[in-house]
Amino acid sequence: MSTEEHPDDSLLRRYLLGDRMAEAEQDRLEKSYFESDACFDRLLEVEDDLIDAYIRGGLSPRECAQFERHFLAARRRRDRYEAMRAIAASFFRDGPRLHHSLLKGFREFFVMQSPVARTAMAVLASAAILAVGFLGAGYARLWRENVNAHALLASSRQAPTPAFLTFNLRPGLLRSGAGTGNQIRVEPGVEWLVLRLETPASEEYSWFAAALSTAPGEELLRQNRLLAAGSALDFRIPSGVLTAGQDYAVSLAGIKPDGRRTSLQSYAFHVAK
Amino acid sequence: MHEPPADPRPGVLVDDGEYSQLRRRLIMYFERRGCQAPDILADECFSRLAHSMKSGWQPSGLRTYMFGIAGNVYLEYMRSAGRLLEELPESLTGDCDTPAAQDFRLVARDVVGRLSPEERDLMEAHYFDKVSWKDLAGEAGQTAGGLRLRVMRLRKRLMKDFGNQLISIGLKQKARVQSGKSGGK
Repeated sequence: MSTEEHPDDSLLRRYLLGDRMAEAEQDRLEKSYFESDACFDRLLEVEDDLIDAYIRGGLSPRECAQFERHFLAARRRRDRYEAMRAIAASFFRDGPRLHHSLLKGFREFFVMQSPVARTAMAVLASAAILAVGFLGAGYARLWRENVNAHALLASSRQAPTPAFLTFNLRPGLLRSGAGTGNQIRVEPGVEWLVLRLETPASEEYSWFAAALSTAPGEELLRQNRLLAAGSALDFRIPSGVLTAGQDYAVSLAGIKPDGRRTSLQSYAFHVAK
Repeated sequence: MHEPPADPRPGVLVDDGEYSQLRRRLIMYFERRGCQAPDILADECFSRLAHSMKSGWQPSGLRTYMFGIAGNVYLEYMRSAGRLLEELPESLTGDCDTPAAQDFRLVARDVVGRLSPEERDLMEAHYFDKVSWKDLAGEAGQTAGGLRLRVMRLRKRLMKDFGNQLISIGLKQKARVQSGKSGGK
């Protein structure tokens, strides 16, 4: 097996998405995965990561297009994608799991024990409470010092800009200019926006498709196979596609299990300056 | 091009593991190039290897040699015009559910149902960002990075269970779904 350094993940990703590459570079990469088991295993992992990112809406619009046009053209990958999509969808379809109460579980466990064991547990619990009391006093002092230190640090540096910003959009055609509609503000340095769209009766639909357009109707980007979580779904867009002071609209379509597509609502919004 | 024989394994590849490893690589190679039937082209490579070895000749580095054969097979394939997939057919890009996709859903539900509550929480956090990684990590006494690694392992396990379940109900996609294996055989 080759002991050469393996290609990095971004190169493997580009390879799988069908990106144009220099012939020598592609040749090197292919030779590398032919000869090295570790490199080929990594390539398969990156393949799964890509499918996963597509399902979760984590690919850029360009990558999405490459994924749909090139990656899914191979039947083997399409089957793998369908399998991973089915797994992801079943987490949503089963609904949120009911969490067991920790306290209830502990009470049941306690009741199941013999009287001797219960007494021993009670003594141990009392000792633990005392110990926690002592430790708590020390912790409180440390905590106060920590808060003071943080306040000092905070005053000497600016808050970091988050990479993502989430906005809740309500359906409708009113923009903020009209008084009550949706308005978003893109802070400098924010790379991605998550438009959280309120969705209607999502159980009817297997998937959703969302398209972002300018007010005159020019489509900027589109994402298919979006999953709703409860009564909302997240439509991730790169902040660079929006211009301050302009109006935009997101149109939403629902896809039923038999493949039929139904146009749902639109969400107009204004990007504040 | 030669007709692929029923069993394209040349005598040199007595080791099934190595045969399968090479076949998966060849399929990956042809997939990248947009070939319509990567599994048939992979078989063609093995046919050629068998043909070269009839006289008793042995390649020194089998994998490198196969890489060379793959290049030749691809060039010949390219000469046959119109075989590249320029665009995905509409039926594939659409969102319509095939009967197989419905089977997939049932199998997926069964496989996901076998997860422990804690594993399920992790995967829900992964897919839907409902729970913060930091909170989950705090509860589990792990780092967020450690949890993400667990998610990757769980995903792998789910896919393996999914493939095994398909085998048990005899779906033909099983071979392709299972750990990225190629189809056709």
